[in-house]
Amino acid sequence: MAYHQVTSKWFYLALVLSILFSVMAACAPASPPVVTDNVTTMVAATPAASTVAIELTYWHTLPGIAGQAQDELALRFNASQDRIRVTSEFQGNFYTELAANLLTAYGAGSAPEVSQLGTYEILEFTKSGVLVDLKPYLNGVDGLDTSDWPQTLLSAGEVAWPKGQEGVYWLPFNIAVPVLYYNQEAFDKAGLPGPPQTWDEFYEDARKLTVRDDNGVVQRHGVAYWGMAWPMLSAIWSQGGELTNKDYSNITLNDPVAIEVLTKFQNLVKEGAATLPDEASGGHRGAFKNGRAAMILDSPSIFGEIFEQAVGFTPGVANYPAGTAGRVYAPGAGGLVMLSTTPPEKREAAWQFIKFMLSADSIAYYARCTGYAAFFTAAQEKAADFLKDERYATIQRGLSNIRADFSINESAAVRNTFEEAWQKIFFQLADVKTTLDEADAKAEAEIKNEQ
Amino acid sequence: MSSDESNSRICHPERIEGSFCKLKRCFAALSKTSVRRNWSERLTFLAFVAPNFLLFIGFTYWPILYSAYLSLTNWNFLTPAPTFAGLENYFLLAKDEKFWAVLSNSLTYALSVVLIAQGLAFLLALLLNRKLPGQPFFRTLAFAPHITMTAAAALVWVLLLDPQLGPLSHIYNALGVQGPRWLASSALALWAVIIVGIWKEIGFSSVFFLAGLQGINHDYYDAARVDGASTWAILRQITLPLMTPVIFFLMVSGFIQAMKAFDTVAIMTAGGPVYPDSATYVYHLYKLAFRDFRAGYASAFAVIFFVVIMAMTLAQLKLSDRWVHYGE
Repeated sequence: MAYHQVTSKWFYLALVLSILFSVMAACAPASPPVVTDNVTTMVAATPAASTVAIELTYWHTLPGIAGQAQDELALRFNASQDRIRVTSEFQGNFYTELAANLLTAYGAGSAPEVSQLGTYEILEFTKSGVLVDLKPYLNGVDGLDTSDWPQTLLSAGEVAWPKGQEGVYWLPFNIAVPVLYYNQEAFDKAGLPGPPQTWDEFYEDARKLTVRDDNGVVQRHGVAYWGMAWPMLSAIWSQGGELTNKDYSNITLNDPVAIEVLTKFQNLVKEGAATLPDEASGGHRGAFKNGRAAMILDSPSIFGEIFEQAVGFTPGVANYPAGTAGRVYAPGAGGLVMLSTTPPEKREAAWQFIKFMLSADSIAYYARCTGYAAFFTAAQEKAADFLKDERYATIQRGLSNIRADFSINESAAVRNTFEEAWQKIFFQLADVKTTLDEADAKAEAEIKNEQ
Repeated sequence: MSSDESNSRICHPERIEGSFCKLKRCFAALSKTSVRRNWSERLTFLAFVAPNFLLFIGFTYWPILYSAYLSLTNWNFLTPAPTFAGLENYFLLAKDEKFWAVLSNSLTYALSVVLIAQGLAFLLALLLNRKLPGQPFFRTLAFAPHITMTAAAALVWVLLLDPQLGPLSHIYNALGVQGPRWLASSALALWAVIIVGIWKEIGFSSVFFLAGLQGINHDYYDAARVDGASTWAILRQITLPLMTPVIFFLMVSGFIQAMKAFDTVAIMTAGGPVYPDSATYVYHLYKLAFRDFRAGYASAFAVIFFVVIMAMTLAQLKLSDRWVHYGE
């Protein structure tokens, strides 16, 4: 009996202690930070014999070659010096997944020092103090020469925050000049001389390229639309329309030009010349590659995919058509940011990595691998060999027409409202003017919740 | 007054009926037993319960309470502290047409999946309960959809439903018609998601129905046959009443599970074609929190969701007294 009681006591004591230890272990930091010579290192993370002083983590998105090329650049950076080691980590297929991961990591205090970031989050992250102002680094002694960068790209990451104090929180890295892919055989058969040069030609060509069988069932659409507002933005801007200004004091989703452009896009859907394939079954890209659509408006980031996987025809690549206001292209973009959780002693190292990623060599390498633009002169010079290829040259030519204004993306109120409006217009064939009028009123009302 | 007397008063059938009364009796019985237990037994009980209970507090109860607190604030996950906003989020939510749309979508989804899947699963279980050649194979086959990864299943269904790529396209082409574009149609997109939900649910429910059917005493059937009862009468008067506990369990658990539908929607439609045509409540909640950075507002959605599910579950419990037979 006595033995049983003693055993029970020891059993309970051991149990309570083990619970306490497990709770304490779970709450304790993974490894204690040790400060040495102004450099914070993690004891467990750094081998004693290593010469690496600073460990950085870089998060990125984009699958396939666009992601692999970023990993390769991080390796090249590590090889270029022995003071900083960057670990490149893939964080999801698209910017939204990366942003959701950043959101939770930031809250948990485990965010990376440097990350790729899409355009949706620039404003929200900046206003919330998540991003470091890169202007002092950019203009500092060890800064970056941006004199040959397109001004529109340089200002894309500028945010007046706190108010009246302009900072640069996002620097462009992967810039997609929108392009039109077309089926060359389909154009030849339809007797069309080449890709459309104006938006009016684009609408007419889409009709001519549409093929129906004897029953009138469409076998090939003239164009397959992307389930994104992006291409429409270029069409609206090229006709002189505007959807919002940068501070959202003048939201004009029902701009007469927008109504006119979306009506023309909608007419193609009504006539069967345009289709909107669902993304899950391959989307517009699948439709184009399988020859079920003769044109798509897309990004050069799928350049390799289009030319390798097109079935039974030769794809061509062209710039977006021009409108009455000329050629104005809304670029797709991903940029680089430094997270504000980066300790001061690591920031200089983080800047060195950003600087490396934005060097002429890195941007030229990335452009060569992916089809993204070598967006400044020095990078174009480095990329001169492959820019001789007419397809790459076409992408580069569009660079002079880009307008890197991401206001539509940066506000959830404006972005969501406009998206839902064009979805109604194309999928439900809703009246364009009424839909855009309602969307405008809704965006005006909802923007107040964001400010 | 003894505790027994007190319990019998509270549990008087005229005051509180059915399951609540049973629950009370159960607690009273537990309590009486506990009094008799010595300290050693109590400590053993605590030692075994405490780790799980701590985990529940940390990972279930605390997040629920914190979410309730967040629903009274404006926050984007990023700023150091949420701003107190009182009931503003709830007022906004009541006026938000998307709230009503996604709630309606989720209820449509849950009710359709639960009712249709259970009906089909019951019929399937009746078939699988017969002594047929290859019975184990067919039982495995019936359960397979449930253990198939949702992402894979959703993608396969996307292809199946595709009017140009899928197998149905051959039929459409033969008929010379353009097939319906399920995922590009505002009227059909939610039903495409529901079809996948039903397909996945049937296998799971049929296993429970099968277990229930096999638990029925065959004496009932023999007696009924001796009395000359028809197959339909046996099904209606014996099988169904004795299966009501299983049906009830599957309805409650299936409803809660279906209300939480997220992955199929994310893969098949992303809430479209015209958002929120096919968006479920949880999908919209995710979008609000992690894409629009409205953690406070999304938390208000979560709290209402909790209340809706709780209310529906209690209603199911309450109504169960009228139709569930435990063979007492």
